[in-house]
Amino acid sequence: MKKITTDLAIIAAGPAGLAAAITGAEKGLNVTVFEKSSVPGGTSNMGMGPFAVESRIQKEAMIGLTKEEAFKLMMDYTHWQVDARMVRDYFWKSADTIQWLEAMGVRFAGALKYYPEGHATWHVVQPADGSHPGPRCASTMMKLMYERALELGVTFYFDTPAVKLTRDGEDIVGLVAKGKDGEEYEVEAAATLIATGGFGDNPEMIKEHCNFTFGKDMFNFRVPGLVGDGLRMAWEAGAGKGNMEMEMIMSTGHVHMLAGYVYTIAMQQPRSLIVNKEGKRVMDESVLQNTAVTANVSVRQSDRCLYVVSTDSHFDLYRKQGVDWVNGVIKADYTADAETWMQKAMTQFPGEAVIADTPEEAARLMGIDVETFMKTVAEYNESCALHYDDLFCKDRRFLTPLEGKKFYILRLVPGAYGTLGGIKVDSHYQVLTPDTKKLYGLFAAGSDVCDLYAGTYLYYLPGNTMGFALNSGRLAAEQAAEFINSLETVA
Amino acid sequence: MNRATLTVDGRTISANPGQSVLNAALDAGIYIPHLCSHPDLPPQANCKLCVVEVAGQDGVVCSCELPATDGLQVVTQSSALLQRRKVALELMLAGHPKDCVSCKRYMNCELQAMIQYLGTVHSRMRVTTRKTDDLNVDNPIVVREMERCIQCGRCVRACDDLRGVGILGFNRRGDEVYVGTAGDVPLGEAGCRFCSACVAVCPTGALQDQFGIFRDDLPWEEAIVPCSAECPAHADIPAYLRLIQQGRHSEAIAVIREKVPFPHVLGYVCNHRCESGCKRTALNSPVSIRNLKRYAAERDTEHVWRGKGFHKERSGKRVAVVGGGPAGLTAAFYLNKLGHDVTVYEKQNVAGGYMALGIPEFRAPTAVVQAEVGYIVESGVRVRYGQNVESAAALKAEHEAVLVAVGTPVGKKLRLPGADFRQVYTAVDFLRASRLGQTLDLGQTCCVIGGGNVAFDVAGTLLRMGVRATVVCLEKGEAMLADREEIESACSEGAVLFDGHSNEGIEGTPEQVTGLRVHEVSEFHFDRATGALVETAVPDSTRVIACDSIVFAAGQATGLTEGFGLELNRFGYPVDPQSGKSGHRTSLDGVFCAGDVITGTSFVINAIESGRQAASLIDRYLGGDGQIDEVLVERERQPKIGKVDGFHLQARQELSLRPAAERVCDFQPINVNFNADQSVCEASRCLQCDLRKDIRKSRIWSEYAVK
Repeated sequence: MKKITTDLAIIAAGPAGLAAAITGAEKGLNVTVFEKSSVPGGTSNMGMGPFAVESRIQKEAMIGLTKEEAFKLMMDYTHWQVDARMVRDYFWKSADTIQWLEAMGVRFAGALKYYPEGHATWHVVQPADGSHPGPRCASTMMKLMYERALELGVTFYFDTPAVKLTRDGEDIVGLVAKGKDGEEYEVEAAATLIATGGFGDNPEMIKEHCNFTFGKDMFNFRVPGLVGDGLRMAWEAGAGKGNMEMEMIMSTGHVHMLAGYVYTIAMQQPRSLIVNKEGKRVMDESVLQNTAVTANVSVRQSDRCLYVVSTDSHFDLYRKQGVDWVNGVIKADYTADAETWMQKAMTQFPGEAVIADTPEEAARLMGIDVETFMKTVAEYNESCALHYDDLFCKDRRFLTPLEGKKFYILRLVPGAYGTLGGIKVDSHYQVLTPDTKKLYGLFAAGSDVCDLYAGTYLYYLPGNTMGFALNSGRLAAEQAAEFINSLETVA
Repeated sequence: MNRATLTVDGRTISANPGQSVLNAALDAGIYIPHLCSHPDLPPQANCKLCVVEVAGQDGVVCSCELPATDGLQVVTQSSALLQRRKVALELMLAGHPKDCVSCKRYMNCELQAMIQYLGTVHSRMRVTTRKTDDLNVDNPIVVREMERCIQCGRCVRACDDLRGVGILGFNRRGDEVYVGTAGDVPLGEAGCRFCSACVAVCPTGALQDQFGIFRDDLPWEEAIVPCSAECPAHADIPAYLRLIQQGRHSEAIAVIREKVPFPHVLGYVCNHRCESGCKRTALNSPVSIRNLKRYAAERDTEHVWRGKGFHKERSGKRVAVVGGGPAGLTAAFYLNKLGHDVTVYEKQNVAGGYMALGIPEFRAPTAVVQAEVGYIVESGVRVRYGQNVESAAALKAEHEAVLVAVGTPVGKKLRLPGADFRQVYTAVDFLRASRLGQTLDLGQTCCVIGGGNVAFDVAGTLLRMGVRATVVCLEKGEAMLADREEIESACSEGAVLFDGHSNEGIEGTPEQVTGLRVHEVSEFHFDRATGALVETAVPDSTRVIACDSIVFAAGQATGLTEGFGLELNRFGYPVDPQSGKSGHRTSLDGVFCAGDVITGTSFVINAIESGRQAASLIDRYLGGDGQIDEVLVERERQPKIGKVDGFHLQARQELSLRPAAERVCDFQPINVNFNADQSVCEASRCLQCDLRKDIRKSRIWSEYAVK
C-alpha cells in the first residue's frame, strides 16, 4: 500500500480529466491523475474536435452564430428539460476554451458543420502533420494537453484505475487506486474529480438504465474500458443517480464493422427509400442525414429498425455526379467496393444486408412484408414521376424512382456514440446525494454527468460531446479549486 | 569492451557494447518512434519509423540497425525525418480499419499511441483491403483480426526467435503480403504451442487473447497464468509440470511445497480448481494437474526440498494450535519456521484431521497422510494427542497466540422420528471409526441419508466392509450435489440410489433399526427465512426401505459452545466482532481462526491456504513481518519450446479405474496412477502460459523523459 497526498485527484485522463488537470494546476493546485489505460486521451483519441460558439476561428470565418442564439436553440430544442445554467456556463466558456487550447499549441482546421442545415460549431483539430482532418485527429490535441499538464507539474499514474472513493462523513477525502502489478495506492485528496466517460462498454448497465439490448436493438460504439467505473464509485460512495441515456445515432447491425464500411454511406443517401418491417414508408429520407433524429424514428418501429433501399441506377448516378451527401468524418469513394462489401455482409451477417434482382426478392430475403412493400414502391415511384411527395414532402431533387437491375437493402438499427449522464450533480458539477445534499469534495465532469440532450443529440450544434467534456472539466476544476481554497481559509 | 559514448540530438549518452542507437537512446530516456522493434526481439527495420540522421552521412538510417559507436552524432528530429515517419505510418494506416472504437485494444494499442505521437491520423493513400485477412482466423485461443495487422513482423520473430516454434511467416498471395502459416493451415495443424507470445508482442489489435479467457478482476501478471490464479494457494503449476515432464519429480514436489505442505495428499483429494482455469480447455481438455501431482509425489525419493527455505531465529514466543487438520498443521509448520514455539493440541490420537479421519482410506491412504504429517513434526512442531481443549481463553493465558483450527468435526442428524435409535450414526462418526478400525453395529444393510460426496464416501466404505448400502437423497439426477464420478463409482460398486426421495422416519425400536420410511418428491426447496424444507410429495409413494442401520451425511458443525470463550454466531462459528462475520480474527485478542471453522466444511486446499494466511497474520501479531514466501527450487524457464506436430490434439490422459468387483474387496486407491509415458505425455500438454511473464512490455512515447 503506497500513500499519496494531493490537492486534486482526478479519475481518468480523457478530455474532461485532462482539461480539469491543467485547470487545477493553473490554479496552483497539486494535481494527480489516475488513468486505467496506458495512453492519455480517452475516447477523444478517436474524435475530431469540440463545440464552441463565438470563437476567434468562427469570427474570422464570418460565422455569425451568437452564444445567445445557440443558447435559445438548445433550450427550445430540449423544451427546457435540461439545466439552463449548465448550458449557459458551458456555451459562454466555449470560445475561451478554444483560445486556451490554441495557447497550448493546438491548431484547428476550422469550424465545421456536420450537415448543411446545421451550424458551424465543430472545431475540428488540425492533425500535427498538416494533413486533412479525419477520425482520430483530436488525438493530436490530447497529446498537447497531456504535455501541457506535465509541464505544469501534474503527476500521472497510467495503468492504474481508481477503484473506490474514500468517504468520511459528508466528505469525500480521496480514493483507492490499483496499479497493474496489483499494488494499491491510498490517495488522500482535498478534492476528487470523476471523469471516466460513461458506460458504453457495459451492456448490463445499458440494459438496466436505458432499456436497450446490445447486439439486438442497440449497436453502440463500445469503447473498451468505458464500463461505468465513475458512476459505480460515485454511487457506492453515496452519490445520487442522474438522468441516463444513450447518445443515439443510426447504425447498422455489425455491417459497419466490415473493414470497407464506407459503402454504407452510399446507402444512406436521400435518394434511397426507407421502409419499416411492415413495408411502409415512415420518414422523409432526406432527414437521414440527421442521424440522431433518424434513430428516434427507428426506435418507434417493429424490432426498432429501418430498412434502406437503393438500386444500381442510384449507384450509377453517384458514380457519375457524386453522392448527394458527403460524410463529414470519412472522405472516400463511397461506391468503390460497394458491391463486394454488400455481398460479404450478406454472407457474414444474414438478415442485415441483401442484394437481389427484383425488389420483391430483396424484400422477401430481408423479412419485409412483400405485398405492402411493393405497394409502397409503386406509390413512391408515382410520387417521383409527379415530382411531388405528398406523404412526407421530401425535396423533389431527391425523388429518384426506385428502378434498376439490382436492388440493395441494408438494415439500419439504433447505435450510439456512447452514454450520457449518471452521476447527480448541481449546475456547478458538485456531486449530490439522492436527496440533493452536497457530497463535499467530490466533483464530476464529462460524459459521466452530461445531461444536455433531453433524449436527442442536437446535431445543429455539432461537437457537443467533446465540447462539454473539455468545458465541464475546466468548470468543475475551477469549482474544486474554489472548494479547496475555502478549506484552507477555514484551516 | 568499453561503453561507447555518442550524442543524440546534442545529448551525450553512453551505450553498451553492441547496442543499437535505438536501444541506447531508449535506455537513456530519449524516445525515438518505433513499432517493429520490441525489447525482447531482434531488430527487423521494416516499420521505418525509427529513422535518424547521422552527422557526416547522407540520407537516413533505421536506428534499430545502427550500432551505437563512439563519437556518433545522431539527429532524431528533423522535418525530413518527420516526413519519412509520416509516410511510413500512412502506409500502415492505408490498410488499417478506422473502427478503433470497436477494437478491444483501444487505449492499449501501440499504433494508436503512435498516431497520437506523430499526429498523422489517417492515410492519404487509397484505402486498401486485403483478401487474405479472413484466412486462418478461427481458433479458440488467439483471436486473429488480421485486417488490423500492420505487418511489423513482431509475431513472426516472437514465434521463431523467442519460442523456436517458427510457424509464422510472411506469405504472398497474388500481390498481397500477409502474416500466416505455411500453406495457410490452421495454427493447430501447423504445430502451434499456443503460448501466445505472438499476442504478447502484437502492437495492435491484430492478435488478441480470446475474449473471456482470463479473469479481469485480477492483476494482469496473475491472470495470464489461469491455473495458478485459480489455485487458492497460487502454486506455481506451470513450473512443476515442466519439471515432471523432465522427470525431475522431487524438484516438482519442492515447487509445490513452496505453497503447500501436503502435496501427496492433494494429489489424491484436491478439488483441482486449477484445472477449471486451464487455458488448454479451450483446445480440448485441461491438463490433468492433480493426477500429475500424485505421480510426482510417489516418485519423490530424494526430498530435495528438505532443509531448504527460511528458518528464522527462535522468537521465544509460544503459539498453541487447536486442531491438527490441514489448516492447523499448515499454520503450525510455517509458524515454527518463523521461529515460534508451536504446540498442536489434537483431540484424536492421530493427526491429519479430515485427511486422516474424514475421508475413506481408498481416497487418501493413511500412509500418505501420516508421512506428510510426519515431515511437519520432524520440522519441529510439537503435537500433543488426545487433548480436548475446552477453553481458548484458558489456552491463551499460557501462550502468546492461539489458533483455532478445529474444523467441523461434529456430524449433524436430521430431526426424524427414530434419529436417536441405537444404530443411527453420523458420517463423521462412521468414517472416523472406519479409519481407526473401530467396529460399529451396522448389520447387513445400511441406509445413507444425503446426496453429497460424503454420502458416497460412506457408501463406498460400507460396501468394502461387506455391508449393503442404499443412498437416499432429495435431489434427483443431475441436481445431485456429489461429483458425477463419485456417484458412478459407488453405484458400480453396488450402492443402491434412491434419489428424489424424502425421509419420513426411522422404523424399528430404540434398540434396533429395521428400516427407513421414505416417499418420492416431485419438487422441493428450502425456505429462505427459516431454512425449513418445503416439498411436494408424489401421492401414494411412501415405502419402507428395510435396513439395519442409518448413517446421516447431512452436514457438519464446529461443535463449539459459549464455554470455549469466543463470540459465536447462531451456527456456532466464531465471529470477528469488527466485521460481524467469521474470519481469521476472533473476539479475543491473540486468538485466531483458520480453515473450516471460518468457512464451513470445505476443501483441503482451502484449509491449507487459510492456514498459511493465519500463520502470516499471527507472525505479524507477534512482531514478525508475516513473510512466508520461499523458493525451494530455482526456476529455469526454457523459452524455446519448439514446434510440436499435433500438439493441439494431444488427448488428456485419464487414470484407469480398477474394476468395481476388484476394488470393492479392498481399501486400496480406486484408480491406478499414470505410467511414466503417460506422465510425460500429460505434463507436456501444458501451454506454459507463464513463459509470457518474461516478455517485456514495449513502452510508449509518454513513458520517456525526452519525447
